[in-house]
Amino acid sequence: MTQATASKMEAYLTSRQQARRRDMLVRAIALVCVVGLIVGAGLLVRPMNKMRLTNEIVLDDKAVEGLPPDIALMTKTGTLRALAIDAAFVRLEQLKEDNRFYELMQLSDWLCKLAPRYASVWQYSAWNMAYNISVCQYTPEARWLWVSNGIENLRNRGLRFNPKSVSLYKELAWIFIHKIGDKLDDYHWAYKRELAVQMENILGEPPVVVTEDDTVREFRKIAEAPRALDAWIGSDPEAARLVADLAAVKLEPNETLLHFIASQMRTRTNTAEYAGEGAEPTAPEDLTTRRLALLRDQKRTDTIETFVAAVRAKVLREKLNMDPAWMYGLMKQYGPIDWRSPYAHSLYWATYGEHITKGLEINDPADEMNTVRFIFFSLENLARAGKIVLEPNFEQPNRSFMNMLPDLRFIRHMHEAYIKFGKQEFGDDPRYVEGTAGPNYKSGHVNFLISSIRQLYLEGGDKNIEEAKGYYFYLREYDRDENGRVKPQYDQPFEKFVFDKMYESLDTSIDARAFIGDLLRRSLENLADGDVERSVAHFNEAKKWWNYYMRDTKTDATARRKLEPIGVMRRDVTEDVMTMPPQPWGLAEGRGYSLLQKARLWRSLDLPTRQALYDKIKPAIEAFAKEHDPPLDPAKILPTPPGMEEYRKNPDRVLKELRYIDPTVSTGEKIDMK
Amino acid sequence: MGNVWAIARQTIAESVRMRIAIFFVIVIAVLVLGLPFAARGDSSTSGAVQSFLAYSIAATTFLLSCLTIFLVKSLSSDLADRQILTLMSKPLARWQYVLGKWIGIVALNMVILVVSGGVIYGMTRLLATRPPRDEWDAERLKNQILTARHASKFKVPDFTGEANTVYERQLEQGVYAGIDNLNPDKEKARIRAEIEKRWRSVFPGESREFEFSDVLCRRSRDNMVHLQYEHRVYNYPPDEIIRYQWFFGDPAKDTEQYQVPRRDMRERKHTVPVPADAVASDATFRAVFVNVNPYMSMGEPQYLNTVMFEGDDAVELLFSVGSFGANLVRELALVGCRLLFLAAVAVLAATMFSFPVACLATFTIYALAALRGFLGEALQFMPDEGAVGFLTRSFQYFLHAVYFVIPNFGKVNGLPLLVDGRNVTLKWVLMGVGNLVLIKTTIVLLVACLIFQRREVSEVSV
Repeated sequence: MTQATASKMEAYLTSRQQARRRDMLVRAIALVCVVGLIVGAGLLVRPMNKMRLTNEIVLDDKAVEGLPPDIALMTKTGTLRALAIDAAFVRLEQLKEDNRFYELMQLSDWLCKLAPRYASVWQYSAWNMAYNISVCQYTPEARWLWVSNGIENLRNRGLRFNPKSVSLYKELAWIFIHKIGDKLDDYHWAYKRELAVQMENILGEPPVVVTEDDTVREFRKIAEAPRALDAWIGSDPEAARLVADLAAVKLEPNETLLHFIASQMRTRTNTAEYAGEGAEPTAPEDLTTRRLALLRDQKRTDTIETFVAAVRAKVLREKLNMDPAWMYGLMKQYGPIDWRSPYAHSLYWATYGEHITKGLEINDPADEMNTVRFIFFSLENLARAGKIVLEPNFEQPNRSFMNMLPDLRFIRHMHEAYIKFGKQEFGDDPRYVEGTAGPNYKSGHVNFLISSIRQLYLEGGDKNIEEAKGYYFYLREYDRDENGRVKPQYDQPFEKFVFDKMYESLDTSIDARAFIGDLLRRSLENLADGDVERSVAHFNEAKKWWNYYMRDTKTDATARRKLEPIGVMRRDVTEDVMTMPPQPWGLAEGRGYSLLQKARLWRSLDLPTRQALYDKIKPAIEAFAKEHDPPLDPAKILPTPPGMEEYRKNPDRVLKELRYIDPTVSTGEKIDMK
Repeated sequence: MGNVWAIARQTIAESVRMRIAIFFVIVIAVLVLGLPFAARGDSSTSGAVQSFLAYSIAATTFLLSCLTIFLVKSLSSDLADRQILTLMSKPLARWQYVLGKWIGIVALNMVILVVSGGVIYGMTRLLATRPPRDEWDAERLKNQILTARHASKFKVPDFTGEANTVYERQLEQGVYAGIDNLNPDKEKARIRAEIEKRWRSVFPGESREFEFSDVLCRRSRDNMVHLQYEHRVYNYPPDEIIRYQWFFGDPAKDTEQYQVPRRDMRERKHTVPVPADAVASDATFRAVFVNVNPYMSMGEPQYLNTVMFEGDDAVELLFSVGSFGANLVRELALVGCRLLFLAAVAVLAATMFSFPVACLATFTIYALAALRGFLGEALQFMPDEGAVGFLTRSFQYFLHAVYFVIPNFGKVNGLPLLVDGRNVTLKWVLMGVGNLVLIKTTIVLLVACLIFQRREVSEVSV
């Protein structure tokens, strides 16, 4: 070996050794990195899993517990699940385009099972049911079936797996407020009736109360009823005896008991009172009588009340997924909510959703703000149409009579909610002014108050006028112009502010007749519902505007612009009301009277009006009574007023009397209408 | 043919021994027998029957397709395990071996398909005994699903004369003055299309008459025909419900006449049952659409919605021409055609590749054949410009080339029609047999035979 070769060899060996060392070093570093990364990744698993649970990305053990086996199985399908979800969504869209809703439903059902924690799936499925499929049905019952399927899908299933998804609460509130509460669907009255009857089945007839607080106190019994019904029955011998006695008359502590109470113990609608001769009386020893005797047992009133309240609470929780305590809290906060109203449900889900999901990062801020908006919408609708007049038909809910009247008690709550949520949402905004609804809600708040002031004023009564004045002064204080000055519309006396719009309604005799006629109609509507105070208030308003309009016509040479005397106007409106086909009549607008309301109205009318109308309206009432289910006796609906023979001989005498009579004043105070 | 049958019998026996077929039979049985209890549809009996039909036949078809592909294991293992050497030492031509394998796979498939079809028929009938949700549901089940209905299309009036007149008038008025390269035929066609478009649009207060011919149904009051229509609506009311009415029957031909007020959701397919005595004795049917709200007497307004009936199938008259059973048989025959082709492809792949590769190749071809419509639609939504556009266009060209060879299974799929109670015609089945079986399957089998003929089944060691 030459020296040169030896030197090359030595260099080669040295470099090989260095390379080996370098390799070793690289391997060691790589090994350390690998170990470090594995340990690091391992340490991150726990907090990551915690975050996934907190943000509701995966099912936690608690949620999986008691999961239906089909859903539990679907959630174990691993990676294939994502592929299946994608394929199902593609097909879902195709099915929708092809109008194949029977299959679409099936597929959405499976999709919900495949991805129970994917809120959008539930949202989409419920929307499809309530909106797309329902409108393809041809009967109100079939339509309601799909609207209620959509609601149940979200409320009873979707929310169970996604309790912190604000979008699901928003969607649910939207279905109540828009699909059921609004007027866009042809069958919206059918939905309203179905929901109202469903709720009355569970909560029973609304209690007879004197004040707002009484209604809230009544509901407290349900909210505070024993939650563990079985345990309570086991611990209370009286309750155990009651359950045994109820079982003996075939009533179980569930919806059957509540249905019996709602349908058989209702006091306000009594068709038996107007039934014809052929109607069979209840046998004294039959099951219904024994049930009624048991439930009306005075000695056990306390136990029965607590027991029924507990059953109601249980059904609310299990069937409607609603928390009675939250419902009670809402009633304390917002007033005497009638849970038969769709707006009550939208309020519940909007507030509950807002409460549960507040501050969660996974939720879309737009959804959060819209959910708060639904609280306003709900309260506003409760103020506009929150008073429910219901004569339920428990067997065919869509055949029930239902009317929705303004409930002015909610105006105050709505006003307070605007201020509360305005501060909550925009309190940090530099444009926010303390005491207002904040920049984004302000115009809605102001418009609401302006229309409410007029509504309160028209409703009449010192309390309402005082409340209206309060809002007027609030607007003068807070609804300032850009320079902070009082706006011209508020810079005038309160009455003038209210009347400004109303004067426009009295421009011509046709307008005046329509405007005053509407007030008279409201007066009669209140009378038919037994609300004499409001009826008088409305009649007085009508009288006031009648006088106002007629003041200008006094100088007329002829009667070309004059209105009929108010008593005569009222008689004509009454005739219209009595001969209008009674509700329900299918698709038409819900405003109208049931036959029983007509009967009640007839009994409350003054004698001259009854005499003047009897012969005119008798054929219509006879026809309505015959068509009624069950048929009623027209003679009991429309008893002949006394002195008819005399009236028929000399009708002019009664007409003259009508010109002077004030039908709301029992003493027969006469007003000069000339 | 004795050799072919022997191979076929051996393939069937081997498949049963492999338990693949038994496994698939069990899965199909579980699905077909279990689906009626899982299928809810839209909670109506008719919806449940439709869901069951759709999913049971689709699932059976898919599983049998998978079985077909897996059954070529028989051919692959013959090659891999050198069993082929024993077979080749016998007086057996290679084409006989390939054909025998194909027949064996197909025979097993057909037996399972026929049995499954019988069970599907029985379960459908069983499901149909569920109480209907309402009268509408009962009518739908009886007259719109468990039947085979032919769809008759309306006659579009010939607007050629009117188009010519308009053209002549415009020519005289000098509308075309200054247009050098005016093509009269094209212009007349354009005018004709404009007039037809106007005819298809029904403005508020207008009516439109649709005429159908060859309505060969039993003309009696208790027999129903169905008018199915889908429209596009402009200026629809806020509730998106369109109010109008249909008049059926022809007073000039002395038929019964019916008036049907409707409130329909816009842009959906709607069906109106009409007693068949509205059909004239010369097998024509007249339907008049009136765009006037029939509910105005109830205080509803006349909305200013314009209703358009686009496409030749916008209004169809459906009437029964056969039974559900026969329709199901024809649909199963189409499924059979697809399976015959797929079996040939699987055999071809197995003659060339090892079992896993053959499976993969056949699955790919199956997916491409089954998803042709979906792929075409999916590509429509891709951007046309830039790099993505270039890739999309390239892929489209590639697909065109692929589909020159691979058939479109969508064209031999009568399931949507069967589920809608529409007739799967015998002509269609015969076309399926001719195109897919006699031509394409034969070609694939010939190629398979040729390849196998030249394939070395053993290495020669010297």
